[in-house]
Amino acid sequence: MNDAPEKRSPNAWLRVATPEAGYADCVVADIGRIVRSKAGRSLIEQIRDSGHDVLIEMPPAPLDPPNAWVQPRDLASAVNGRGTDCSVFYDPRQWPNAASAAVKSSDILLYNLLLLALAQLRGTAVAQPDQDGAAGLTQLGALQDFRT
Amino acid sequence: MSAALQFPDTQAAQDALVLTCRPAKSGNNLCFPYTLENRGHGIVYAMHAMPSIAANGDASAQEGGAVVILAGEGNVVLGKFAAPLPTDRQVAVPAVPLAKRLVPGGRIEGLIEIALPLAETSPYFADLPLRQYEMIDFDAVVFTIGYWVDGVDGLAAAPVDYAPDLFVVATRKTLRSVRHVTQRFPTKALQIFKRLDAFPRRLPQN
Repeated sequence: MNDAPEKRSPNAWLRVATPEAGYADCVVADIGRIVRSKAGRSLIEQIRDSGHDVLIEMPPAPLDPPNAWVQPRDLASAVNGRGTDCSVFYDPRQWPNAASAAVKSSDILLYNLLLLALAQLRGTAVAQPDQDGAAGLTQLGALQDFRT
Repeated sequence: MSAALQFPDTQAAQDALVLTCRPAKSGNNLCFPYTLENRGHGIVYAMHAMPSIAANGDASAQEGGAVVILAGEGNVVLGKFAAPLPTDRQVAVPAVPLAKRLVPGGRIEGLIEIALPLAETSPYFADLPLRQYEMIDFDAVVFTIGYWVDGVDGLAAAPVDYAPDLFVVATRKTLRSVRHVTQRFPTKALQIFKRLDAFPRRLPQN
């Protein structure tokens, strides 16, 4: 594990990768819908104030059925209170889909992924009881809707 | 015995669930035709297919795929069950197979076909480049079907629009409520490509 403090670029606390045309536009549209709500704006501000960064990326290879996830840069720091940068992997163009009825829209999915990201940024992510050892991290329960 | 293989088949015996599989090699495929019989008194929901989304967004149920894990002691656990959750990330959607309803006295048939070479596979992980695997000899295949028992842990089963004979099953602890029925087959001269990433190999214990 690296004990050195992570360097943070002051203007890059929330970044969106641009792997192919159209991807970032869809992500930014979801972020736009999130920040238009009070809960969404609060979440984004908490991410900014966390002192760590979030990078939103397209999954490196397609999964079937589609999935999305939040991955800490440093697994231990995500759960030990130290906090760490993390990546959110999702492709808004894959959501909603018939395989995952609980996910009603891509912006609600992103909002919930960012909630998980915030816990990793703060080092308060929850270890997953089903997994041994490290930072097994909990799965999403009921999705929260930022509009309500 | 490895923890990953401590499936309490005694539990399957108590549930009077009988798995019969006769694996064979067909061309470049390993084929696992199987039957599952419910000789007990309760309804069970047996994992049978994974939901799949085509490029055009159409949904279907894929019955032929399998989760493949190199467990300890040279055993490959292979079959239809809920893959272990990743330990290095938080996933949005648990990849839980769709299930068939199996009433007392009922029987279902299924088939898993896997192209050789055998490689560790999970719905949470895309295939890796060749150099990110190592080839390992193994001694046995533990053919495994996951199932839930109706009435346990508040089980609810909802039919699937795109696959009328299959159900989405949820319980208060959907993954921990899963039980497994297994059949072990010793093998000779077979290898598996073991992933070198953070691939999880521990299955939830009943």
